[in-house]
Amino acid sequence: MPGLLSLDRIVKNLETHDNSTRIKKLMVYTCQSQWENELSILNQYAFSDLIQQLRASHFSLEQLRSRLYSFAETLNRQAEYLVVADTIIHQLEPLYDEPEELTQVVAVKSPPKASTKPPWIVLETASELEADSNILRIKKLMLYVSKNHWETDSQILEQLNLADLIQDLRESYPSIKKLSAALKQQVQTLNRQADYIVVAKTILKALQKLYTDDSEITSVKAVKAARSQPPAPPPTRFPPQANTGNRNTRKQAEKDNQKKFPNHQSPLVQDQEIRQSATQASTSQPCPYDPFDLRLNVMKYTTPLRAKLLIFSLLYHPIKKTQHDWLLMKAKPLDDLLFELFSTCATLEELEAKLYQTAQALEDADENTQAAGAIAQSMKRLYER
Amino acid sequence: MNVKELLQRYEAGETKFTGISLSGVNLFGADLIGIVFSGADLHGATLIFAYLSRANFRKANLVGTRLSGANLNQAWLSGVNLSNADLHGASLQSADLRSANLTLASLLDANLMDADLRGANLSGADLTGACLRGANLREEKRMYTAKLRGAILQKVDLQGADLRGADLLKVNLRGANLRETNLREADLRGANLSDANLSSAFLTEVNLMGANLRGAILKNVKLERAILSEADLTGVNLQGAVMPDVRLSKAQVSRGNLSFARLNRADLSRTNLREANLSESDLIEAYLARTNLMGANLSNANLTRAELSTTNLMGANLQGATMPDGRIHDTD
Repeated sequence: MPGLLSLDRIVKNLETHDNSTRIKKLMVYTCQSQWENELSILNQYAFSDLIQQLRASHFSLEQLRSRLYSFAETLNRQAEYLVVADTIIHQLEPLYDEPEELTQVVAVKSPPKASTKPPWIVLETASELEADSNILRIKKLMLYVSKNHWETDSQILEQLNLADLIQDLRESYPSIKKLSAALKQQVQTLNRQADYIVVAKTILKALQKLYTDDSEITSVKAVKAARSQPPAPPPTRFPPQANTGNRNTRKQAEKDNQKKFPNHQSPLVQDQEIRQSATQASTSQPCPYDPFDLRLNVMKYTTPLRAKLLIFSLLYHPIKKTQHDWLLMKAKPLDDLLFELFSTCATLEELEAKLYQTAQALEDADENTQAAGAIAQSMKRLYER
Repeated sequence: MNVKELLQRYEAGETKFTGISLSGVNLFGADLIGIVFSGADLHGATLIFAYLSRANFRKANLVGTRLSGANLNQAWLSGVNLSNADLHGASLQSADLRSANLTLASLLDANLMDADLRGANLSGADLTGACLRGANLREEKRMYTAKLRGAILQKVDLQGADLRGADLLKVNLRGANLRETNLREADLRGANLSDANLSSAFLTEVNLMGANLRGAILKNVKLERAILSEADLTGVNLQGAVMPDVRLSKAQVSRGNLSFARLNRADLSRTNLREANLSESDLIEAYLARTNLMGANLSNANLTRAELSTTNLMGANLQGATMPDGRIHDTD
């Protein structure tokens, strides 16, 4: 079939393209209405599937163009991604020049549906955990952490889809640290703590690979108006660059979950519903995260090294005046520390509490408290709506 | 004089310690605001987290001095030898650093806002993550140019800074903030500007020969008469850029977006513009000798009096383009 030949050629062109990663990001974004920065997840998508999906859902090149452009325009790196869009259009052009019968063949493919299928990496993690002899306890604890519901019926537990549970956790906790804290907290409420600490560690170890960072993070800048395809993610607290997972899927998962456990009102779910409805009610967006402006503001009101010392101590371990710690701080740019701090603290209150607490516990409490105030003040607008 | 004596005398109100020798001493976190250390020898001393705002270090020896986290706001550091000094995370806001020797100094995450760096030598210095907004690095006379050769300027914040005519040969400015930065006539040959943000920067007559501009944001830049020969501009967005008389010979601009760009009299000889978008661009009298325009989009471009006799136009889209002889290209 000639169509397959050109498809192979396009796949090869895209794979060897200098901008290959960005091309895939934009294609995934257009197909799934979901921005993805994680390379490991992006790698699960095959170009051939993405191309066919795009071809099948856009009957003309013009339609494809306008759709790619409309998605690229929602990104903070709009200019780059408009170029990427052009590349995709250029590469996919031959598919629109194919004889009529091929168009029909491709068009037979079912239109892309809102993909709720977990990414491959999640499935892989699930199958790893399935092999664990403690699988029921693993599911129990996962459910308890994500839904605050303690299920003892082994039949129900067995029926629970582990991949869904993993995805729920991944989406509810933006960092491995947060997940770890949540697991620890829930385990402390159980009578068999020692047993469940082991289970928590197994979960953390398995889920670690879902939290790998991509240095180049582009994210959705503006939220598009309603589309025919899956709805756009609701505005989130995290402005561009924050890698928070897809809230949309989470919300859906929560809804599904409420169907599953109708009598149980999880405090966690409630809290998130409230937070989200509040977000939706408000039309203003939080201030965009500009790493340069943030750094500038912090530097204006405190010595940069003081800020680094405090944030490093908060995130990792209290800095001692040793050569080793000094070098560790040199290796961590202020930019990165500020961003990590921002992703760790969900609210301004949490940020302030952690900053002042850390400052008080360190030597030179006065100087560090001054720095805590300066950092909190500089980051305030990122939390405001 | 030892540290104890110095601190006692300072405490008692004495501020002038001209020509004092304090090499290698430890003054960690010392409060020495407004102290006069002019001509002092402080090489190898530890002044980490010291309070030194408005201190006078004129002509002092600060070679290899540890000043990380020190506050040197508005300090007088003109002509100071700070080579190899550690200024990691130091605050030097509005400091006078004219003609200071900062070669190989570490200025990682340092605050250099509004600092006067005219004539300073920053060759080989590490300025990664430093903030230089409002800093003055301007060339005054030929000899008064800030030297930044071989400096590491990754992710540096130079928004709005004046770098007119600065020597930035081969510097690493990867991911830097150069929004509205004045880089007129600057020497940026071989510089790494990948992923840098150059929106609205002034690049008139800049020399970017052989520079790497991949992934750079070039929105609304002014590039009149700039030299961009052999530069890597692959996939760059220069939509609507004003760049008459630009020299782009042998540059890599494949898949670049130059639509609506003003490229009159541009030298595009041997430029790789494969699959580039040049639709609606002005290319009047442009020189396109052996230019690769394979698969490029030149629809509605103005090529009046352009030299096209050796241009590779295979698969190029010339729909509606004004050809060198003034005729409109036929639609196929």
